[in-house]
Amino acid sequence: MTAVLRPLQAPGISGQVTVGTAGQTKFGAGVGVAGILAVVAFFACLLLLANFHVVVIGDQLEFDRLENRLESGLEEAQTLRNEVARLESPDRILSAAEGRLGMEPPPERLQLALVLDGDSRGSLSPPSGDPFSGGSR
Amino acid sequence: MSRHPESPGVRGRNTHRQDELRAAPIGFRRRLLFAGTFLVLAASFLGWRLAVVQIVEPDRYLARGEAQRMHTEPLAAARGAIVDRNGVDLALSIRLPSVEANPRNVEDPVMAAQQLAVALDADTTFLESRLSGNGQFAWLERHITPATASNVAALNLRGIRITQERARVRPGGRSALGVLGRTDIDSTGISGLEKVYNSLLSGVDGYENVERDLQGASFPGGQRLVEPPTHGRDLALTLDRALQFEAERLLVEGVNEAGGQGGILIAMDPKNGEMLVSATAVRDDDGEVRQSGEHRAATWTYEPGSIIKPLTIAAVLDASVASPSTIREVSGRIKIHDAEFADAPLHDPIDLSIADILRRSSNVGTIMWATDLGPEALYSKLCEFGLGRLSMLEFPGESSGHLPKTSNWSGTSLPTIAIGQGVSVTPIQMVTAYAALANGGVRPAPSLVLGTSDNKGVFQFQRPGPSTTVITSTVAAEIVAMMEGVVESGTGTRAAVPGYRVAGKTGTAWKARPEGGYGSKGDRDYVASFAGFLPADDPQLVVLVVVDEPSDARYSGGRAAAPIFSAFSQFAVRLLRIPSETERVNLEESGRVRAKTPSHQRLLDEVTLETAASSTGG
Repeated sequence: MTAVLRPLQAPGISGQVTVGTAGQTKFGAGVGVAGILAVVAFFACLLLLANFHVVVIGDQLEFDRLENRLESGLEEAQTLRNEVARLESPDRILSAAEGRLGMEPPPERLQLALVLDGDSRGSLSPPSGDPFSGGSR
Repeated sequence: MSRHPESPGVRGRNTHRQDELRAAPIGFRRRLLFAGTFLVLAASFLGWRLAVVQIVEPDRYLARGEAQRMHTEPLAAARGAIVDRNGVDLALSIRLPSVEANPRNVEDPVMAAQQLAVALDADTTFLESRLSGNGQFAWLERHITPATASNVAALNLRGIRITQERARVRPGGRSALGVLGRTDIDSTGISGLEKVYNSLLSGVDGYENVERDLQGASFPGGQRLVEPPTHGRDLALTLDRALQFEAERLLVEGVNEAGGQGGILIAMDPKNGEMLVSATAVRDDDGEVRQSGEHRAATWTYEPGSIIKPLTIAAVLDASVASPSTIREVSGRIKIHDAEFADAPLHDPIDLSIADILRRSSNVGTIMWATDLGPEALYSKLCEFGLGRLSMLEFPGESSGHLPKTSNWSGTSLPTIAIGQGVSVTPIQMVTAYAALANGGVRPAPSLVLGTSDNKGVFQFQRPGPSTTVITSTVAAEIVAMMEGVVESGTGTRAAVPGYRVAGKTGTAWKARPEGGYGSKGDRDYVASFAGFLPADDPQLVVLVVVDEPSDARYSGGRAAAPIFSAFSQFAVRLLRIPSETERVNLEESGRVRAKTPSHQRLLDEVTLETAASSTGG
């Protein structure tokens, strides 16, 4: 009879160990994949969030810029409104006419008629000759 | 073979560690205990702080955090503009640069002041004193032009900064300044309509509460609380800028020609009391006559003289004491109590109708009829015409004039008041009384404001004040007919307007001296005036011209004031599109086109739009 030296193992225990190792491997692999997927998803989410944040910041800056532009536009409109009123003011026109342009008030004023026969828009005839030519001055 | 899960080797290791610990020196155990205690205490402290921060005093820390990142910025309400009846800007607010300094940061105040004095065209000593202060802020110059601001910026001085501020500007310069009024440097109304309508014009400031980082940029998605400002409303006046300008120009010219110390010109629409013009001119200390910043039409009082006679005669006719054709003998002089009243020029007793009395501006005739009327009736009628009481303008500093009660009248009060002495009125009271004559006996409430509009352009009309029936329309028509005679062949012929029927009356009143009395013959001051309206058969424009202290050569209303009335009216009828007698013939005939004012055209366009909208169900 030949004696064989084997490790001391209970048959029941040995069987359980074999079955348990295979299940744990599959389970571990599944957990690993899930973990990797979760990590990837997490980082993807972070990336998305960062991108979204960038978009939001960009839009916010754009919003601030538009607000400032609107405000300065309104101020500019008000300044131009003042300039139009100043240029249209009779005082300025009179000063420019008498000063810069050297015009003089006519001895008599010609008052235009208030009531016309027919529609004045259709009946106005063009001026004769060239009223702006140097010869007519 | 053993079935125990713990192998002898493992048990051996644990036992060995415990043995080692037991065998450790006492110093090490103490240190361990100390470190453990320290860690426990530190953790307890942190836990306690956490509890304090999160549970006990969370509001305090929340507020502290909020204060660090939340910035409240005021949103200033824009002051509304003042526009004329055609929507032309008379006063509006714009941003202008101002120069401020932080004196602590200015390196060389003397040098900086010298450089700034050149750029700002300001006093060096003043600037130096501002820059040498100990404070951290000082205004150097406010509301400068952008060009000046560029010059200052180019100096690149440390501690000098340029900021933008709202400033009130009047594109038309001093035109209508007395009516518009002024604002202080912070755009708060301090006189005129700027003061009366200050709350309406200035609106209500808002604020913005924004989360910002250290650099001042707002947090994306952060808190943003905005309470928008309620901008001031635009104020639309009844004045017409072009008419106002021409009135001021003619008034300055007329006062200069008459050698007067000042003058007033008011134009009103008699149908609704809207004041189209209110011009004041005064002779300044340098001897030049200029537009005044004071609205004397409301604040100044004077004895009206003969232009009160149509009101006296209207009272006589309205009380049926006489009719226009009633004739009586009128002498050249009349003595009442201790005073003698005379006509100028002096005449022998003659028969004059009431119309003749008005045409010749007879003092004696007017006094005789007023005596027949009686003091109570005269007083109450003058009150009904609006004399002696505030008009409904509610203008700051407006005077009520002075019409004494009959209980305070002396023996000469009736004759003097009947011819416009011993009573003081404001030009607005007088022009409104004439508007009553022109408006069929109904006195309109004078107004300077058409309405207001918000920043979306929605216009809200101001409800006009109540009108008062003073005399019957028949009496009004009779008075108008008599006043036409004044311009046709009486004392007011210089007030004629070619192509138009004009009704009016001249006034030449003695001006009371500050020391009392009216001076003596040859040493008197006068107030010359002319009040009238046109066209006489359908009055659309009432004008009053007053010249204060004209020279002796042109002291009468007919010479000093009537020409100004005529020149202004000739311009006004064109601008207001009031057709002449010839233009009115067959006016309504088809195919004839009548020119319209911009405001008329706008109203017509609005009506057309509304009609179109209602027909389409819009």
